[in-house]
Amino acid sequence: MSTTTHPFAPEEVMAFVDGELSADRAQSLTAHLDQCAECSALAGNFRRESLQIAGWQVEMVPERLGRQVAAAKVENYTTNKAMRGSEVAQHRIPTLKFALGIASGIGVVLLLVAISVPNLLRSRMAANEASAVGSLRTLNTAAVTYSNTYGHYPRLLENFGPPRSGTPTEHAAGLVDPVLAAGRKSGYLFVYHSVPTVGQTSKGAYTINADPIEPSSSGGRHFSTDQTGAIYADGVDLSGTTLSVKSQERDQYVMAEQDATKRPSEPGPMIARTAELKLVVVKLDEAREGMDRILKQHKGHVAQLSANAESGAVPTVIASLRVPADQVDSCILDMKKLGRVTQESQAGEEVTQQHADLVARLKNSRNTETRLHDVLQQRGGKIADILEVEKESARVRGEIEQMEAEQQTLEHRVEFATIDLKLAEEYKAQLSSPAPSVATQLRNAFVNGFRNTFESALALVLFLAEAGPAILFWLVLLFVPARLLWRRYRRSLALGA
Amino acid sequence: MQDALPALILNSEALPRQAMDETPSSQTNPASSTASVSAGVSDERLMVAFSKGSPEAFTELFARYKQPIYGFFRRRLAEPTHAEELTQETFLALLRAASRYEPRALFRTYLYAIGFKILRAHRRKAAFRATFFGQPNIVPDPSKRDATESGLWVRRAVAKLDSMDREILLLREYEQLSYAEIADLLQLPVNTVRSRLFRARTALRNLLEPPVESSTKDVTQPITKGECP
Repeated sequence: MSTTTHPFAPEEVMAFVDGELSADRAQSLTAHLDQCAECSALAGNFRRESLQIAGWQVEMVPERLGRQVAAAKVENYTTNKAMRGSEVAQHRIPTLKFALGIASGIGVVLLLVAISVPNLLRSRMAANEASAVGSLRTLNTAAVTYSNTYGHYPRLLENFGPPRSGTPTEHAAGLVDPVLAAGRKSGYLFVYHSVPTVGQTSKGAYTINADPIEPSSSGGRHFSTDQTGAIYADGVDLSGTTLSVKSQERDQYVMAEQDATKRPSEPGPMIARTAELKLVVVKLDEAREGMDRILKQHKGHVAQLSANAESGAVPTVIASLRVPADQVDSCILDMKKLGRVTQESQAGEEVTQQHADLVARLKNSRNTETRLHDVLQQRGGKIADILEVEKESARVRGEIEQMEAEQQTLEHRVEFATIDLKLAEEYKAQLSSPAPSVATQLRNAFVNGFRNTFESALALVLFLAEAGPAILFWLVLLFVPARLLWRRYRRSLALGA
Repeated sequence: MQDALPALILNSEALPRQAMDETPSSQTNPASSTASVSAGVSDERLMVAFSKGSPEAFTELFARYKQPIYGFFRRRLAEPTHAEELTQETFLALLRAASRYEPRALFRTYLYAIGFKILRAHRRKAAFRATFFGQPNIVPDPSKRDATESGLWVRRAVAKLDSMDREILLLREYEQLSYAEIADLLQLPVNTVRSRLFRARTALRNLLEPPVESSTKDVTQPITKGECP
């Protein structure tokens, strides 16, 4: 079967019929059509098809269309003459559209801000609270280090801070950064109280309160801690935090030099006691005075205290008290006399075994240290061996100090029991006070409005500063694909797909 | 090259049109006696004259293009009233944009681009209404019109084509746009326009013609470039 070559594709034949082929190519195709019957038939098909398609005719345009457009033309010319052909009329609608677009954009941004600002504030408050807890841990660790170095806890918060020049001293131990030592950090105010002597502790005691500078925006909860290392949030012990703090304390005890033999061993079982007591009292002020009196009588102290006396709410006092273990029963009995008991619970954790293990391990470590010390005294062997012994001695020393710190904490928990006390005044309905005057309400409304405006503007700035680069980045990244999709959508819409 | 283009366009004569019923009818238009004076002047010159303040030029342009533009919309919309409205809207847009007109391309390309944008906006609004207000989305379905109209088979066959192929075919066959103008209007490469047009015509021929017997040969299918039986 013989074949001949077609120098033209069917599409070119179609383009030729449409008059879209270049002149030289059209000339060649014309010559080819004279010779090739099939290509000629194909061209004829295209022509017949066009004629067939032409059968689809539409009706004539209505006459009224001409009148309408003529009227619009006259109006357009009148307007243009009045405005001397200025662009104002022509750009009015685009300008309006532009303004509407800008307004819509601003509206969307404001909507986003309105949605995100509360979350932003909440997240900032949560971050500040986490920072406050972290700062309290740092201060606890620093306090232990300080007490091991200088024999007592610092008198002031500034004593934790770095010295202005020279080496650290008792007044500026250089254990925390200057911002924290100044007492204000991440929206929280840190207040440090030192107690020279409490119970049998020779180093004294301390409490640190961390309160939000602006309770509604910089932080929500009130934190406190004391020399036991426990951290309280609104009176509730953050147990996980406490364990963590103790772990950090152990790490920081490296510098301490203490003699564990000074501590008398505890005969009998060692029990760390805790109690919870809720009372309803007739008069809260009197009950609080009674609580202070009982504490003083039993040689206890307040670790944390918060009072709520807002109008409309039942006045309450929530306190965490530390009382010597041998006084705890009598102290609870005295406390019960302050009002009607609504809830009482006591618990005791026996730590005798834990303490005994600790003492045994401590004793072994001390023996090891003594033997290592003897080896060093003999000064025999090579220098490398001596260095190895010194290194081992330092490690054992660190372990000893760590265990001593654990023992101290354990004994402190046994020595002082914790009583979580809640005093609530009996609910008494009160006649509502007269409403403030209209002027006062207006003034307050204006003040609140101004504050809200400022805060929302600040929040917007903060939001843009925080999220702006990310939004810009994603906009740049997504612009090309989004534009492509948009154009495809518009094209499909235009084609009626 | 760019600078030479407007002069070239302005010096060109009115393009010959082969559209069957949309041939500009300036000679037969009784709207204005002055319009006949403009007969033979290119569309671009008329538009420039109109942008400089000649209302007669617009009358002539309207007379030339009212039927093509109406046909453009009529073949793409189901409702004649919509086609009429959009035709009016197209010429109003032309009126408003007259002062900004620059003869960078053929006038009819410019005018069909306006019409195309207006059609797109109309369909967008119709889709929006159909989505949010439950109104029926009016899509161009010419096959559902009165069966007594001529070219019923053509309309039905065209309606079955792919949307892009259909648009290219309509622009070529009825609006008489060149491949380059269609490519410019639809933002497609010229070669794509040509291949899609070929595909549309082939598909349309198959739809229009009765099923051929196996012995009858379709000349388009077996012929490929480089081979001839």
